[in-house]
Amino acid sequence: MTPFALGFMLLSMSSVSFLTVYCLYRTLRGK
Amino acid sequence: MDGDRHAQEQWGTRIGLVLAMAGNAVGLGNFLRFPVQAAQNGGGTFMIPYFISFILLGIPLMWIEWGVGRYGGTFGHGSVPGMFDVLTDRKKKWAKYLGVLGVVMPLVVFIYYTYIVAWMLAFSFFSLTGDYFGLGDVEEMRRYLYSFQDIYDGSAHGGWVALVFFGLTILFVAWVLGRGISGGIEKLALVGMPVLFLFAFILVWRVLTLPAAEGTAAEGLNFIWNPDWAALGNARVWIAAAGQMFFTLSVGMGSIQTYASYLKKNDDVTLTGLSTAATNEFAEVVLGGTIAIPAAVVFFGIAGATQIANAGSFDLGIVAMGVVFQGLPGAEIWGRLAGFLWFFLLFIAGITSSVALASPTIAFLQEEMGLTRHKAARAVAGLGLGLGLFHVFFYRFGVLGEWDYWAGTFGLVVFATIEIVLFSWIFGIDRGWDELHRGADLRIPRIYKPIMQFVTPLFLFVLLGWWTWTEAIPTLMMDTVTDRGNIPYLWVSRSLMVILLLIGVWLVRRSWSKKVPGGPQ
Repeated sequence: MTPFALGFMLLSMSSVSFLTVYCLYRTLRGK
Repeated sequence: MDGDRHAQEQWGTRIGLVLAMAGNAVGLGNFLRFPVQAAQNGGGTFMIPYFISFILLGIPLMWIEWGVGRYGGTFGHGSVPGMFDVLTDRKKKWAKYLGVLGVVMPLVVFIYYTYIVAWMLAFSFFSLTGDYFGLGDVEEMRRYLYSFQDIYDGSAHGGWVALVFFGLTILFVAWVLGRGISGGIEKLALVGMPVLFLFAFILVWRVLTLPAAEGTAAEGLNFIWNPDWAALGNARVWIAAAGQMFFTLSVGMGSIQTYASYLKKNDDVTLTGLSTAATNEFAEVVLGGTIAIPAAVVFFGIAGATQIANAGSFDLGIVAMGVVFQGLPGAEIWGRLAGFLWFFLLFIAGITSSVALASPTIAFLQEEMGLTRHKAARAVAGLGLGLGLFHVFFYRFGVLGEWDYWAGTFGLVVFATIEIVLFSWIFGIDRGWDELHRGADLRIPRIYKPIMQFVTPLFLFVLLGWWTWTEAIPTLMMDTVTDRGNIPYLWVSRSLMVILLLIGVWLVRRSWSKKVPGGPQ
């Protein structure tokens, strides 16, 4: 796997994961 | 009466609502279509327009559809004709008729999509029984799949097998729908979605730990994520990425609005809507991209996986994966188990979407036609089974692809364009902005106001124009049909959709003439 592809994949996956966890956490807390 | 009937039904819990909405969005497209699209459109390069489309198209449409749904629900409307009517303050007679698209399109998609979902149920069963184990190469597996899909080809099964699984799936959907919003749809999501994510995580782990064969899992990931910069200047890649956004988020359909209509007047839509979109992206980008393509690369190498991906989603998801499961170490147990996990995951992803697709029709029949939920569920099941038989018996003539193109592809962009014009320009962006923020737990960044007013509509008009010119006109003229003998069947297929639309228009006219003194408005 090229370093660029690895970096891009990790950046994309971590951004999407962060957004998901953050939104779900706030949604379930109710604010 | 209509409002009372609607007010009787509501979501039980917030997590149930988010999971049901996520269940609506997460479907076969996340695990089958996305990796194929990424592989065909420049790998990592595809992801750049994909994320731009998510920000400029997906998220704004998701918020608008939640807002339109909740607003319509406060007037007792659970389906789009009534919602479009109130968006224009009941002043534009044509709006409710355009809203018929938001009932008929999801119904049409529901019918053929549920047939495909039934294939997944069948293949999860075949995996457990080891029915296809022994078909060691792609060609044999392909013949096995085609035999299952084509009722006239009994070489692998009797033709009735696909019919039985289709019947079971439709009955299950009707049972869930008949139990109502919190008692049926929400419970299905509360059980199904955690199971789906659990199965997906197990499969991701299994794929990433596969021993190297024709390739490695890392090469598979590289195949999806390594950018081909030349592709970034190709308009088709941008159009493909924008198109994928519709399929994956289930926007432009009518089902999100129906689910959102069961919210209370001051329930949040901004944070919950974003949560749904994010959860769907997690399922697609993190999980969907890490299963089928990397597994195919391990077993078939880059060249083999490319060939399979180019042949389409079912060749990747059913044919290639069927061969992969037979090649796993300890295949008699672990291969069968992995096959079951994969196909049942797809079944769950599909069935939660099927239920959502049928919901606008259920709401329409309940609120505009006065049917009880049980009667409406039975009517949809009967219609689904009846018209589904058309696909079961005439699949080999390409009739399913015809419905998929007009109702499940092109129609989404048409509907979304109408919707955003109504919301941002006729209802008005200022009113719309205030409506979205009523009871909101998340303040939408102000930049999204001009995005919703100008950027997203422009994006949609460009997409609509491009697709009309490059695909819709040639498809309409049957220029793309390779087997000319199929043309009469394709015309019948189109005619059925037109008849459903006309019936929808007639029912709306009849319903409005009853509820508004002085005739249809």
